[in-house]
Amino acid sequence: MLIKLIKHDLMATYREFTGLYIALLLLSIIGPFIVSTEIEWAMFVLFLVIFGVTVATLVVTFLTIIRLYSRRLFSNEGYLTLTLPVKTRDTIISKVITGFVWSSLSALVLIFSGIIFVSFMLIVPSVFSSSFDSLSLLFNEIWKTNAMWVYMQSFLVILPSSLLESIYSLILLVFVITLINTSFIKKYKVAIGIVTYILLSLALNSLLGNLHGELLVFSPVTTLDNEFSLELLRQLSFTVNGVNYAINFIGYLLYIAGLGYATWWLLENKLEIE
Amino acid sequence: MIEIKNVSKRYGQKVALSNVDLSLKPGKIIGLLGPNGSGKTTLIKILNGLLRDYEGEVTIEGHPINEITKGLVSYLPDRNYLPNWTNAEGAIKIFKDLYSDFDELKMRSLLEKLNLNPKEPLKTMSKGMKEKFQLALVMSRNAKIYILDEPIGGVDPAARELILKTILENYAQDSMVLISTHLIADIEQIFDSVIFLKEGEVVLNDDVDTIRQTHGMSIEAYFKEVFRC
Repeated sequence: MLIKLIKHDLMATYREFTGLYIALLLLSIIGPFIVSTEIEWAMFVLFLVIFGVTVATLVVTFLTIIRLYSRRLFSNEGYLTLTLPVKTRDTIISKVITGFVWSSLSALVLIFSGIIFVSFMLIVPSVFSSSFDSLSLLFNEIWKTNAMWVYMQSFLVILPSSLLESIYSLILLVFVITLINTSFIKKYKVAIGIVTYILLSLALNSLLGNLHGELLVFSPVTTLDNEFSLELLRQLSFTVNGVNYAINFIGYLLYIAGLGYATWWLLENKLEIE
Repeated sequence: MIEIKNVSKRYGQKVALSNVDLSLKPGKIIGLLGPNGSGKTTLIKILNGLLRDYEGEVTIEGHPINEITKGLVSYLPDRNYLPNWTNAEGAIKIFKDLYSDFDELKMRSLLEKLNLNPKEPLKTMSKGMKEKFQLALVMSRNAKIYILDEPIGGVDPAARELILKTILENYAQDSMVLISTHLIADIEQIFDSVIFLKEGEVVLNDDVDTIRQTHGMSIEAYFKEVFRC
């Protein structure tokens, strides 16, 4: 049943994203060719459109997730969602997974579009005029250093923790939206929801942040004061602070379990749909 | 089948239900009657698990309100609860997917009888059409209990007859139908028994024939007498 719930949640929301994802991918392919014309106004319009579509993707992702957790659970549609013969636990999990799918997919499409754009601009330099040659050469030099590989490795190392953080943020959102739809909160639900989310988020993040230090330590240490040096990039490496990483990882797991249980308890004992 | 023991519910200072005790048996069409604010919808929400913070005990076939009881109850709320992004066909797929007791053939036949187009987007349907469509979905489940909150509230008198006919023709004889309404005259002929709720309290729970014989008047006339201001 959980799979069916996720399927219907995805079907209810995919229309919001398809146009934006297609637009981003098209822009990443067409964009470099517009840049190659070196027509200033065309480049200005292009970057304006790219900026607009990127912001729209982020905003739509956020609003769709909010609507998924509020409208589909606690407004008229909630009369269907909350009377389905499914476990409360499955209802919560399906909402979190659907939110996770869309936030991850939006991030992936944005990153992928960026990679396509940069690849067209720099890895296929013949497409472009000489004014981009120096940029292309610099990128090629950086590419030859160890740095890109190191950053990619560090990204992969930090990925599990980032994914957990993303799930924690989503479940915190489900918890707060559930809280304002219980018998505890009678008035000013939206305002109370926003304030509660911000305060809880600040409190939980600072608590976990204070329990551990940096997860990754890069060497040699680069600062903004350092001059840019390819030599520094060639020497770049990083180490993982295992203890800090474990605290961070377990901390998010505990947050997810705690908030998940709290949401379940509220839905089971205090739900008061209007 | 449905046991409600000493159930009370307050919204702040306002009492919505006060020590409600009811034992509802299968094989009957029961009218849940009362003026606005008498607690009908509150009781229905409790039975469907949409209100969880109350005093007392509610069980359906021995189970507290949970996913099992939700599988036993086919519920029509007093509002449009279907998502607007789909059409009738999409809504049928949702019900088919999520309710194991959903009878698609019955639904197709009801669509024809109610003159509804399965390709029509839900957002372009009129209020009356949506109500008929939702009722068709709800009555297409082979449920043990049907709970219908104001099923004829938003439709014209001609459609009311059709809706009542749909209810009567589509519930199994061993199941229970609980109908909340304030349009008593239109619907009282199908009730086997009625419950009167007044300010959150049950003031009457009896068979319609007994009420008619004892008081010598229709259910609507008796309702007006009980709830006279």
